[in-house]
Amino acid sequence: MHLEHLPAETLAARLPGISETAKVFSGVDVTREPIPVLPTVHYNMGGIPTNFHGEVLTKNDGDPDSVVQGLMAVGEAACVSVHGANRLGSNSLIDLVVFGRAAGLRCGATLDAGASQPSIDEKQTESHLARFDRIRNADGEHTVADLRLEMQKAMQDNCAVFRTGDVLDEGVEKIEAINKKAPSMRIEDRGMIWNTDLLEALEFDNLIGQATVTVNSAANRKESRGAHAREDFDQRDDENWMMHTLAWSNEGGDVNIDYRPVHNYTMSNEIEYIKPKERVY
Amino acid sequence: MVQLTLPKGSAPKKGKTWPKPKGKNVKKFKVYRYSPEEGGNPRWDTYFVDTDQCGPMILDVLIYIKNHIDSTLAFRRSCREGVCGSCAMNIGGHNTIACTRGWDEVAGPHISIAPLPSQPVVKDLIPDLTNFYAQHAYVQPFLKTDTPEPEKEWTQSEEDREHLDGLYECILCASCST
Repeated sequence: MHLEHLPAETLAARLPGISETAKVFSGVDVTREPIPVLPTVHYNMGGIPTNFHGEVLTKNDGDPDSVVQGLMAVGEAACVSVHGANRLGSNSLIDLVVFGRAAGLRCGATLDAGASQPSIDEKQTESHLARFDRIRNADGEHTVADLRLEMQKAMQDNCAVFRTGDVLDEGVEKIEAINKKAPSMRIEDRGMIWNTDLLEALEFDNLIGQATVTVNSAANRKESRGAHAREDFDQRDDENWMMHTLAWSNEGGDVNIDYRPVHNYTMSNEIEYIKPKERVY
Repeated sequence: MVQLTLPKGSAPKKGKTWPKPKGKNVKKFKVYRYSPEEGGNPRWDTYFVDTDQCGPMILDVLIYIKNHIDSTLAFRRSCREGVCGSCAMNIGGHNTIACTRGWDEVAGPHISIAPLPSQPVVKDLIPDLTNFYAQHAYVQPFLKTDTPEPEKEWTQSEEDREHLDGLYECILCASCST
């Protein structure tokens, strides 16, 4: 990235952070040389579907807007479907300022502070504790670092922005193979205080689930749309694909795919629905 | 002269020395280890890292150790680009953040890596920052004004903004705590 055409004073005043980062990590003086740029993951688009209150949605008896009582999601975990609009300013501005606040207001409106809660059936918490225990005592042959690196490489090579069906199908196979290895993971630290070995193992367990639904959903969507740029289906296909993918994965990494419709109405008379259109440069 | 001694049980002892790999540019790192669950004194563990195999910063070395040598080593890290302040520690005797300090910038036959001094140690390189945060909150480090609240928003001139230079860059890493 070239910045050297800008006056040094402008760079110092407007981009001091980028100038310093380029110097520290690449030894580049931005007033004289271009900054080397590599693609990386900046943010995971998509997530747990929610309504604009931050309440989690699922498909229930054909109703795609069925609220999961008591479960909320905000930020990068959630998908309110503001998509690219959220990336302006690079800091999840809409997720935080609009929907983070909305979720807080919803909690305030729907919950009574200090209200007593029904006791939870042990059967419901058992599986969570079993997962924690299984990972804390994991004593298999694969280190978390190895499994994570294999997953990272598979996603970088086979699930990047520009992709084809063959590349994605290979990615599905690679991720499936990692899912098969995951039960024989190993950690060394069995402690209960600041156990970052365990923390990274739990993170991996979360990430492999996310990688699984991401690559399977991408292989399934036979069109191009936004950051999903398929070279074998390079056009956007609103007729067949103007819908959200819903994906469920079980612990073994088997994926079920369904869809929910895109809302094409506004909730106010003050503004009309703005039809999405192809992004051109 | 005042005699400064460490409280009982806190003087680090010699710990484990991990095997030395082959390689042209193997560097020696002495890392402070303390396990609250095992008890006893903290210890200095010795690791050898082939610096041709890892990135340029001390944080890259720690991540290399955690991924390839000893996954029990505990340290805080998040952004790995000098903006979050999580990985502040004492490296070669200086408090700094590990992600922007190159291992080639630290002189000597080995590099020592310890938690920030003068804070209770939770585990390994992780200090308890409770007191630091309490002190930070106590000084109320934010702008205050006497002018009445505007109807819409506060505006700031370029000159006013310049008054903040040198004051706003703090990333709360706590390296200044000693």
